Amino acid sequence: MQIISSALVTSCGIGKCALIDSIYSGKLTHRAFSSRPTTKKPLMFPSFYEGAQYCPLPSSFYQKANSARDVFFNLFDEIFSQLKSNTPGEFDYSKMGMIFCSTKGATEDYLGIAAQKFADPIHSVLDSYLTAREMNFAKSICISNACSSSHVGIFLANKWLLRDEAEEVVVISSDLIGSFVASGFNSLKALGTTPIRPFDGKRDGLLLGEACAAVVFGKNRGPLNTSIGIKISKVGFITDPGATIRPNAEGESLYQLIKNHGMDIGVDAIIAHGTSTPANDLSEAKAYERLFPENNIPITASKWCIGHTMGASGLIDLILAMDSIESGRLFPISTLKERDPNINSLVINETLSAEFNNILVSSLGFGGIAAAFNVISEN
Amino acid sequence: MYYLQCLTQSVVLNKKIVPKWAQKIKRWNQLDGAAFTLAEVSHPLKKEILGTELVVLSSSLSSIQTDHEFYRSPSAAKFVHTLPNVRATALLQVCELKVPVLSVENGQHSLFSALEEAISLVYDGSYKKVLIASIELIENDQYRWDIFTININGPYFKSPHSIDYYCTALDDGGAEKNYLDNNTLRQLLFTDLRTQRFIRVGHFQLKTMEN
Repeated sequence: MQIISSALVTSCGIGKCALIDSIYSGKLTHRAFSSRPTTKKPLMFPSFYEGAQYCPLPSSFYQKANSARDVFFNLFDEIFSQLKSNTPGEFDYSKMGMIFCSTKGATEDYLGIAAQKFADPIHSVLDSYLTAREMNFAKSICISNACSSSHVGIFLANKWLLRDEAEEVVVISSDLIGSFVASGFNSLKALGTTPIRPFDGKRDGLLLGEACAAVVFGKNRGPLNTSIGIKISKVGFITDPGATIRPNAEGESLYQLIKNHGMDIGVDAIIAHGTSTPANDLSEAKAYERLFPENNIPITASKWCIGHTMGASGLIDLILAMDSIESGRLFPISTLKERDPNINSLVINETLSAEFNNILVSSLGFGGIAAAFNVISEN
Repeated sequence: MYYLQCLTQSVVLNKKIVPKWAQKIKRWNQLDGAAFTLAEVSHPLKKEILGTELVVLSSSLSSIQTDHEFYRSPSAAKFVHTLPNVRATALLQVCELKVPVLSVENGQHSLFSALEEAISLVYDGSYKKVLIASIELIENDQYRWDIFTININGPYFKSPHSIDYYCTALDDGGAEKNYLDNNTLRQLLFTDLRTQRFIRVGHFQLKTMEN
C-alpha cells in the first residue's frame, strides 16, 4: 500500500516540518497535560474548556470554537489544506475512502446532556464535517481501537484498496485533551513528570499530547516532493483480553503478532509506542529482546517530544518513519538518560545516521491490543 | 453457500447475581453494562463462536453511557470501559479467544457497516470465521445485542457492495434471480439460533421471516 501524502498539525500549531525539526533538536513540542496528579481523588473538570485551559500553550484551533467538535473542524480544515498542497493532482472524493480514527472523539460535547440526546461522539464529528464541507467520499467509517486506532485504520485502508473499494483512502486520526481525557488518565495515575523519559530507569508515566494527522494511501498515483517511494508492507493487530489494562510483562502479544506476520524480517529500525509508563516500555522492550536477541536493532520513540496523542500516535510515528527513510536518520529519545537496567534493547538517545529501508512501528493500547506495521522504501 | 448466524434480543442487566462465567473475568463486577451484556450473551454461544478469527464490534453510540457514568463518578475502572474496544474483551475472555477486535462506529449504520466489513473480510480471504458483535443501549441498563458469525463454507459474493445492495436484492425476493443475473449473490441466510427461524436483513433493521 503506497503512501501518497501526509499531513500533521498539533493543536498548538506545530506542523510536520516543525515537529521533525524539534524531535531532532531535543525540543518538546507538545501542548500537553503533564502534571502529576496532586490528589488521590480523580479530577473531573466541569467543562471541556476548563480541562483544556489546564494545559499550557493555548491554541489557535481553540479560538472561535464553541465545542470540541468545532476544534476538530478547525484541525481537519488545516489537515485537508495541507493534504491538498502535498498531493499531486486533484482529490476526487467520490473515488476515495475516509477512515477517522479516534479514541474519544468529541465526548465532552455530550456529557451532562439527557440520555435521549446521546449521539456517537466519534462518528458525529466525521459525519457533520463531511456534510458541512460537502465531501462525498465513496465510503467512510470510524475506528475506535484505543491508542492503536491509527494502526487499525491503516489495516482497514489496506483492505479497502486491495478490494478496489476505493482508489485512495484517507486515514485521519485525532484526539483532544479535554476534561474527560485529562480526568481519565489522572484516574489511572498514568501521568508522568515532565519531561517524560521512555525506557529510562526513572520513567514514571506518560504525557498527553494533542494532534491531528492524516495519510493518503493508494495504488495508482505517485508521491509528491520525494524521490523515494514509501509504502506499508505489512500491518496487523491482535487482542489479548488478559492484558486489558496492563500489557503482558514479557511482551507476549506484540511478540506473537510480529513473529506470526513476519514483521521482524528485514527490519533495520523500530519506532516503539514508548509511552514512558513502566509497564508499556518494559513490555515492548521484552518483545523486541525476544525478536532480536542480539539487541542490535535501534529503537526510538516520539512521545517524549509530542506527547501521547492517543488515536493519532500511530500516524504520527508513520510520518516520522517516512522522514527517516527519506533523510537517512533516526531521531533519538533525547530525554533518555539512563536506560532501565531491566531493558537490554538498543534504545537510542542520539540521532542515528544510516540508510533505513524497513522501519517497524508498534503500538500497545487499552483492551489488550498490540499492533504493528512495517514502513518500507520501495527502492 | 455461506452462513451468517444471528441472535437478537434485548437484555436487562442484573449484576447482583454472580454470572456463570464469573471465574473467567477478574473483577467482573467492574465491567460496564455493555461489556457485562456481551459476556452474558456470548457465554452460552461459546460452541458457535469457537474458531472465530476476528471480532468486529459495532457501537452506534460509542461508549457514551459509560462516559456519563465516569463523568458522574470518576474511577480508573470506569475510565477503562469508556474506550469502546474494551467492551469486547469480556466477550473474548468468556469465549477464550485471543483474536483481533475491529471496533467500528458509523452512527445508526454501525451494525451494517460492521456486517459489510466482516463479509468483505471473509470474502477477500483475510479470515475464515468472523464474529460481529453489536451492542446498543436501549435505556438504562438495557441493551439490544446482535451477534453474528460469518463462516467460510463455499462460494461467496463475486464482488462486495454495500449492505444496501444486498438488502434490495433480498427484499424484492430476488436473491436467486440476482445471483442468476449477476453471479454476485448466492444466498444470504441468517438463522436465529434461539427460535430457529430465518432472519434476513431489511433496510437498516432486522426483519424476522416465518419459516
